[in-house]
Amino acid sequence: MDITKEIGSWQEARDRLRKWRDENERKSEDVVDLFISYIGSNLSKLGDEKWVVMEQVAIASMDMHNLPIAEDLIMELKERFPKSERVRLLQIQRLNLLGRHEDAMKGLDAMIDRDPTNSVPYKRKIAILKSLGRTTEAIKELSEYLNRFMSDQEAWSELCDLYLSEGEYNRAVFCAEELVLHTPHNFFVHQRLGDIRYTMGGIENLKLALSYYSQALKLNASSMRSIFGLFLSASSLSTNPRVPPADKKEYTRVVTWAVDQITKRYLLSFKHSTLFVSISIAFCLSM
Amino acid sequence: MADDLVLDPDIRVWVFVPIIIITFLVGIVRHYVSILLSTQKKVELLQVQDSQAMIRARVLRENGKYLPEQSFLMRRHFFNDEDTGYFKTQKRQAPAQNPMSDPNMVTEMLKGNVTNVLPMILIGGWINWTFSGFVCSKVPFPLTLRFKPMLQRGVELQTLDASWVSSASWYFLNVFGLRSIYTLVLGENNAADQSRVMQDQMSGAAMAMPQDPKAAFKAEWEALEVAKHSWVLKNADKKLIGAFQPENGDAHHQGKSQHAKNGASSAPSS
Repeated sequence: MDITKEIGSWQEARDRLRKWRDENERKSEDVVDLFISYIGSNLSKLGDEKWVVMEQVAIASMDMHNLPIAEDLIMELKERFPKSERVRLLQIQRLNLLGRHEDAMKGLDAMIDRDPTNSVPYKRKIAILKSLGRTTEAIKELSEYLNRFMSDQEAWSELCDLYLSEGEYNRAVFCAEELVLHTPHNFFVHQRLGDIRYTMGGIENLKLALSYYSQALKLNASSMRSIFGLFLSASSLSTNPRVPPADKKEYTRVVTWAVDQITKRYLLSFKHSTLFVSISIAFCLSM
Repeated sequence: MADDLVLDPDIRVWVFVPIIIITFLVGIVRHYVSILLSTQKKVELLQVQDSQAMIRARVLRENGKYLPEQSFLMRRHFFNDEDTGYFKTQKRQAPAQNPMSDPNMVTEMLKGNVTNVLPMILIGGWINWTFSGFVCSKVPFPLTLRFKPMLQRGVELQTLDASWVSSASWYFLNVFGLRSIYTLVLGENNAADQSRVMQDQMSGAAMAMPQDPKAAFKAEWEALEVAKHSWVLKNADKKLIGAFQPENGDAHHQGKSQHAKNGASSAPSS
């Protein structure tokens, strides 16, 4: 846990920071610790790399609410790169930290005016709105952003979450479908669609949920959530009075298959699991 | 007679190797000069928007079969509809046909020429003038007589085999051959790479968006119009449990029997 015990010298610290930068890992606490112990006094020895390191440490220290370090670093970066958009972003992050959200948003608007093709300020703005709880505004901004940057998967995923938090399941389904379009071979996108459809309820949605869970299982046979989803949607369909009896038979078959699979998997992982499994199935059925 | 020709070893020391060194060093200098002169390619918001829309339309065509029919039609309607579709209503200016009228492109061309073609011509000419009057090396494969005037400038011997070439041709060979060495030394994307520069000279768009959005839109519109949607996930649950029987005359699937046939033709995976 304590990274300073692992790392012995500033060179190792620098290498570790570089590795985290390449792999895009946040690890803010460790970064700040390393900076305080090793890098801070040896910054000049890093050469040109020190600017990138400073940016990394600035972000990490703001995550850790360590304002003094952050402000020092931002000031130095601003002296060196006065017109840089990246430094501007750090300053805006600092404003957020200080709670001056309106100023931060104004700064971001200015950045957007200067360069409308840079997607980062848009996303920052939406993140601020979301953190302030202003979900409707966040949704509106995000929709406008997506009107322009239609293929941004991260954004579609975020919009899906926002709609789900507002209970707008239809629109969440639309967003989740976009993700399926982009990565159809990822079982998780199908599973999420299945979840949303199941939550929406109704025969058509349950049927769709069934198909999506089946596809998720086809792509990843070990997803317990999909099997349980399959089981739940099939059993709802098989007990629904409006479903014709021919189909009911099919769904009951799916139910039995699902129960079989669930039992097998729990038996594989636990020793005395029969009781556990039967309890869990009884629980599901009673819901 | 050509096989008996023996060259003065001084040629090797004073001509052959210096040409390699000169070409290499000039290439590196060119690389740094072009870095100094290069401007950031500015992308327009509309270009980004268009390229993203193209990506989305393409993805819809390719993977639309994983969505239910209604979703697919909804999205196709968004793109293709006569009145409100994206590909129909977005008017884009056709790019300037005449390269000379667009000021940005003119400066780009000028910079490209100055950094790459000009040094090549200058140095090629200087080498031709300095190292003239003798052959420098022999190409390992036989050449026809047609190549003689091209490759043997300054050496007017009618009986000399065309494989013997002058220093100027050795210089040009170096220019193109040292490309991979530049990649080793300067890393990828180096500006000393001549052939790539020649390809890039006319490019104005940055995000892989063709110069003519209108044509691209039309092509994409047509592709989407003809795209057929057959839902792959139909009967996915039955296939999963291995109970899928295409001959099973389900009352609910009679209207879409061709989908059932599609399902049967793709073998169910266990």
